[in-house]
Amino acid sequence: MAVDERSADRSRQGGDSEGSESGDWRLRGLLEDLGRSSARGPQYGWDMQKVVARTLGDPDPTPRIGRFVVTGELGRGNMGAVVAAHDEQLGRTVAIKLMTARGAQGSERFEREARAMARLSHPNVVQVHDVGWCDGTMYIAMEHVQGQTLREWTAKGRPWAQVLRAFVEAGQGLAAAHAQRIVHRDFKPDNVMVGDDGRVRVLDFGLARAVTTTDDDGGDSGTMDEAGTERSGRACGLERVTAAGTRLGSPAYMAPEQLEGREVTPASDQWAFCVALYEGLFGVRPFVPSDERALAGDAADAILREIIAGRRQPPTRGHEVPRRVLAAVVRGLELEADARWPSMDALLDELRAVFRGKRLRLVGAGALLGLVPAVVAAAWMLRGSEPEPCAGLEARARGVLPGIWDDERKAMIERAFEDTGVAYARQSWSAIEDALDGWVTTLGRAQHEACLAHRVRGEQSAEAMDLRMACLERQQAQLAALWEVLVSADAAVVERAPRAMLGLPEVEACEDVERLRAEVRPPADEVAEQVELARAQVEQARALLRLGRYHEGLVAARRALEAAERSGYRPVASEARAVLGELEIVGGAHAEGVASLERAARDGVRDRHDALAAESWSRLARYAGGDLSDPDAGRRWWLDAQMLYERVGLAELEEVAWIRLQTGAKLDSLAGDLARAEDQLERAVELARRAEGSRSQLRLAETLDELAIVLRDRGRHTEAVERSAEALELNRALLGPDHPVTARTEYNIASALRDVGRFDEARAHYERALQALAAAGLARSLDAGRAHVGLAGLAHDQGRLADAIEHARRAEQILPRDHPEHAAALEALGVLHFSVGELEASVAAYERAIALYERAYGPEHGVLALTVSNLGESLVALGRFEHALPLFERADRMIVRDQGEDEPDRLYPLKGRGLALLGLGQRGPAAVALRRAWQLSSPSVPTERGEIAVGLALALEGDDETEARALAREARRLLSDEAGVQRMKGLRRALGAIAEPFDEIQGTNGPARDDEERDDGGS
Amino acid sequence: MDVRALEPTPRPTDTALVHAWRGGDRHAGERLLVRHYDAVARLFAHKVREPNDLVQRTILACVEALPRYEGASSFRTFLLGIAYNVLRKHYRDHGFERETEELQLTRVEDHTPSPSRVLARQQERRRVQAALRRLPPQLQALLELHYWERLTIGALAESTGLPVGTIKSRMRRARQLLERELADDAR
Repeated sequence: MAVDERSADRSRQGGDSEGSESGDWRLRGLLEDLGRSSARGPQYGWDMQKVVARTLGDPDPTPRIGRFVVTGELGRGNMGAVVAAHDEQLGRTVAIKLMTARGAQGSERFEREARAMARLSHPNVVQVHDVGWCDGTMYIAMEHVQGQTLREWTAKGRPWAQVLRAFVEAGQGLAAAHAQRIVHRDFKPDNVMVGDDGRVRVLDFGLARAVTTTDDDGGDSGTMDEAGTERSGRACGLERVTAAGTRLGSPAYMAPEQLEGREVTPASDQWAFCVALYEGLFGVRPFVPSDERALAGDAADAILREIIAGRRQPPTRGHEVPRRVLAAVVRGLELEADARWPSMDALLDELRAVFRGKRLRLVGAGALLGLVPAVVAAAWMLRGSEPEPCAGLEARARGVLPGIWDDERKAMIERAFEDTGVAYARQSWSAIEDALDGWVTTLGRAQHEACLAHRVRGEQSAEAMDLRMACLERQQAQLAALWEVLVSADAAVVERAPRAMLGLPEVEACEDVERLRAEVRPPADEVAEQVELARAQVEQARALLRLGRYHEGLVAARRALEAAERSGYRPVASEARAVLGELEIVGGAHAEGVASLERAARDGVRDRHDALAAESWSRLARYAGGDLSDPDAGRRWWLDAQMLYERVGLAELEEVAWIRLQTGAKLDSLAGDLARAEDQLERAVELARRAEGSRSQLRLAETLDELAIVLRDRGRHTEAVERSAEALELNRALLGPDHPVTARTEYNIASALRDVGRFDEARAHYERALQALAAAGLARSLDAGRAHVGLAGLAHDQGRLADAIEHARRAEQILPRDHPEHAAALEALGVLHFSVGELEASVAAYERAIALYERAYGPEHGVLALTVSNLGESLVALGRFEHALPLFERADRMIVRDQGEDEPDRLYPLKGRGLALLGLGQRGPAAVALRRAWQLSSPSVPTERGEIAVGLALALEGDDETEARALAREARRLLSDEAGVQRMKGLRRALGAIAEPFDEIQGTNGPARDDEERDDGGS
Repeated sequence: MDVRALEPTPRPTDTALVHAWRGGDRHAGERLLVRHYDAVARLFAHKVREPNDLVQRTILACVEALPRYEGASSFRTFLLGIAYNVLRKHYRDHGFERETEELQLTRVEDHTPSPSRVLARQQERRRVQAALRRLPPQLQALLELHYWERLTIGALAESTGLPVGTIKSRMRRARQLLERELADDAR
């Protein structure tokens, strides 16, 4: 037909809609191309869901995905959008990745891996919480990590050791996944997060597989079968949110086999890891396409050509990375997967070896030769004279361990500390530098001395020297491990570092050859290497424990235990078990931790690993006085430890003796024996005073702080102030005025000063504590909350009630809601509101405090008694007598149950009961309760006594005029101060007409009567 | 570590959602609008300062027009036609009655920075995009609806309620202006 021909003709020129101008085809092409490019990936955020829902009048426009409530968008990668969401079930924040899954085949395999990922739990892997489908979109809910990507983190120009250390952590994550048969497929620095907590975590395992390979043109769903119709619900609202990625993985990091589309294995991840590490260390990727045009499209081919041609970019000149590291990385970049490291673990072991510094042979008479620098040895040979045999150790005796503790390695820690931006980082560094310099000098002298004793003076046998050296070397390994963690310091490490120095071993312990000879046999030569490796892992775990990186420490300790058991050398397995036990305890797995440590101790005795056995018991005793809170078991462990330390002759070492005293004191005060606790702490103070060096000074400060607390508990407030002052001075000098430990000492001295009525000084110290905490970024910490509670109490003591309320409020805001001390802040708030007559607010605060205590301790716990009674008093003041009565009964019952009939605290609920009954007109029963309250009260609580007297006078009025009159007189005297006047006013207000006869009882105008009272009476 | 059933749920069609929405299921409406949000938002992008206002007006207008939607064209076409009318009304309300002239007055600055090194293709795109943004927004919108969202002249006429002739002549005018801009640009 003619019409059809015409339209066909037109469409050849661009169609009717296009008009018929020339050049239309070009224009159309340009426009359509532009449209496609700008359509790729949505530019509109998660708020679109909200805009739509709100516009349609939805009262709750919060988007949800499964059980997660979306709170905002975190970003978009080429795999899809990532949103932040709240997990309502578990009350935590999660990150949710949304992705368009590939066809059924691809996604099935991916699902299997996703399930495996959800089962994998490792500190260096971002935890996957949940995987599911919504609207044809797959979502993965995972741990939300606050921090930066490894790429951003390395971009800040960090020392190589810090970079390497972070990569080793990431590598551990990869290795853990490989153990579960999960391959990452797209490892690159952008897929690794360095958390603000310092922990490194790998994410997006296997996701590359799940992403679509084709453009998704999204919205049009008209092809869907109508059977798909359903009531839509609010299932997830993922419509059009996901970006359609077009690229699988990142060619720059892809292994050659992956670029060629062959099978991807753990060795491919190893390649990617090595590319990223190479880039991180040297700032340049190993294989870069020379052809700029390659960037446009076939980057993969161009890179593959470089790899096959072996054109590796050389490392930047002037780098300081050890050759051993470079060699390890290059092996991971072998073209053939078989030529690379057999596993990630093998590669990581090699990389970690760098941190252990120069290798010393453990056994054999030639132990020292390795320490003599080759150049020096060569010079001696040329001179043909006998070299001074111990010359190579002289530097050590001056406090320098080449490659472990020298200027370069120190500078690296210093820089790492500075990089954290922590206010007291510099001071913290100088504290540990002092401590470590001192320790290293002692260690180096001991090594030099052991050499001289055999080689120069001939006093000791080669066997004796070897024993001493091996012992010293084990100690040295602890330093190497500490360095490794220190060089990757975060704020928490900076805080803990000085305290961690206290745990360094006593060099003296390696002197007694007899003892060393009686101790455990060294491992046989053929397993020596394996044992050394396992020990390095043990020390790594120990360093992580000391510096507070418990998660990682736990993983390292488990690895160490495996390695130790593989070696078949039992003593090292016990060492691993001991560290593992400690980590379990601090991680809350108390039973497991105790079992591990007890086994380490028992096995230690069996294998003659006495020092370790003693230390294990000693640690158990320490935890019994702390986390475990078990003074009886603690005492037994403590005695076992002492017995063994004495038998092997280590009991007199400063560290051992100090810990014995300190732990003993902790157990004593836990068991309520404050006198003995004080005695032990005094001795510990003496011990620390006698010794020199910054480690002893730190010990002294810590002991003085503890002693001050015990003294306060014993009511010896003035001495407590003195001890606290000394501790404070030490901590300020050692740790700096802004260190959180110094802040705690400020807090302690403030509390002690408050006890002795030196309010202004106390206030200054509380405020100083808050300043220090704020400077340390801890303005919202538990300690800051406590300081505000202290300031509230202080302000109350000084009659500054408005200030007091303000501080109590701040404390309430800061202290975590589920923390028992939060209840203490609420309770303070309740008392303060009561004091200023804000009764409703007081009731609300008490009620919340009670609810919290009930949740924490159960409804029958004695801690509740006085709070319940206080609530009753506020209700009486409001005239709600019937509500108050059962509260007083409950409080009194608890006190009698726990403390007996004659406990003075009973006066509060009894007084309350009496006044409430009086308010209800039951004068007889009221008199009974008030009389008992009067008997229990002492002159130290004049206001309470005054109130009781008023009540009793009113109850007896008309029955026993004489007594009533005497009581009324006494009441006026007791309530003559300002607090008393306030109470009297409150009482009149609460009792109204019932209180009126009080003025007539004596017949004269008493001092408690004011004209102004008429204004607020009777409400 | 709660791994839920990993079953993909079938995705309801636009038609099914329209049906459910008309039946009073507001969430169906939400899903439908979210599904096509990008296209609507893209139409308003770079043309007005507060695109969200216009998106909201489009949604409200869509609710109002829903009973009249007969399913002859796709819901997407229907929605985009409404969006186009909202855009036109916006310009009318702001005093730009004549839709083809105010080249300078209605330009909204494009803040996208240009990268230091772009490939030829990207350069070309950028050039077209810049030229497009120099057109009066209503004409720009028409071109985008036609070339990007694939709305035919007929569909445009139907969904905007404008005569086919008007759409055609505006389209012609838009192309001429774009050619001129590109030519100026290339000098």
